[in-house]
Amino acid sequence: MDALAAAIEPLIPGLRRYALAWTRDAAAADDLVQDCLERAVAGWWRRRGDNVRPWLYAILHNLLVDYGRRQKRRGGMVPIEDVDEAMIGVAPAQEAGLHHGDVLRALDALPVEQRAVLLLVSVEDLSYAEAAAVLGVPIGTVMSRISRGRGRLSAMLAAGDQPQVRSAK
Amino acid sequence: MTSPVGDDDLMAWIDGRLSPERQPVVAAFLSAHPDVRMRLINQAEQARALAAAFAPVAAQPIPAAMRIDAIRERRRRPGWHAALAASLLLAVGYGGGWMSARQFMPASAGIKSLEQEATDNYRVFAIDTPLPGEMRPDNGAGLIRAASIRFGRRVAIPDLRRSGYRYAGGQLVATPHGPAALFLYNGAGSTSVALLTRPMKIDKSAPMAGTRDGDVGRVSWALNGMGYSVVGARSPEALHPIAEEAQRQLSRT
Repeated sequence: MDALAAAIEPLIPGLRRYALAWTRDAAAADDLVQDCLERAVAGWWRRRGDNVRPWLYAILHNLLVDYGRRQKRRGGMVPIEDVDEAMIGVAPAQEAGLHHGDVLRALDALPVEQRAVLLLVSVEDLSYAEAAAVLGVPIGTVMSRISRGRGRLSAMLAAGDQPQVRSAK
Repeated sequence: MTSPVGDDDLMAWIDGRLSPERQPVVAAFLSAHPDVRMRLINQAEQARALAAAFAPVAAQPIPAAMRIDAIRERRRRPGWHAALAASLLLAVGYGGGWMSARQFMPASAGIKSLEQEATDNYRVFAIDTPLPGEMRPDNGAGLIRAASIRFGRRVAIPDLRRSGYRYAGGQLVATPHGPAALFLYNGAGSTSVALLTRPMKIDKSAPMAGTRDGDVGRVSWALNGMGYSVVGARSPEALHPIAEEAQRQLSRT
């Protein structure tokens, strides 16, 4: 495997996960990842810095933001309640503990910029500095967005205790 | 003196990213504030649930089309179907004589050839080498003047900053169907798009449509006798809003 493939291919599973977390549409997610990879190969010699991971996530993130804008304009977002979990390829609900559907619904209700940092840090396990580089904001902004995002997420999940109990039977 | 515990310390505690120096400071704070500790434990649990919810897709095998070799292979043969079309055209020309070739021409002289001209110019100019002086953005007024004279009508350079692309320069280019103006734009993450425009002899009006040519996407349309093609190393779907923004501005002039 050459240097370019060795640097990029190990990151593809994570990129697909990030795209799916945004789109909840496996086909659209993979199209966007494909677009991202093609741009990465085309722009490989132009990238700045040695850290490939935030560079790749930044390309994908910008594509996802564009995609989200288009979906919004079309009014085409499927409410997460109507989406079968098996269809969108997320893990089935746990028997005990938090219901994934509830967490995803709460995530969707977050402002876009808070959702982005939570996904980059908690799901993609990017460092705070990497997340800041992806989003093009100072690290302090990342920290305050995580803090506010987590606060909001738990407030929503606490408020949604009733359906959670019901669905857990 | 130690600095006080902040929200950033608490987030780093949840993520297990506290520096060794901060660990005892935060631990002392949390044992003095059991309510905060409870809240953080909850949030850490939610972060784990979030990661678990999206874990399955990352465990799946990746599509073969995502392999870097597969992407390179596609890039190495850009525009192969355009080459095929050209060779077919030649075959018709030789086989059927000059007249049939000529009859064949108009179908390719419209929006299809416009987008191919735009693609060819994008491949030549939208690479990461500094543009020659006469193409620089500060020469926009000169370019508008030169293009307007040749087209016999007023030309404008759309401002695509709202779509995240800044005008980076342009120039007049020659096409088999007359002079065209090429505008180049740079976006975030070293991306670029090109807009090619020229007067249309046929397809004087055509709805916006997207196509692909290898790694390059194109969105083209014609309006009031002028053809436009937006080209970039992105999917046609991704280029659509940029084309719409350009069209919105151009339809006003």
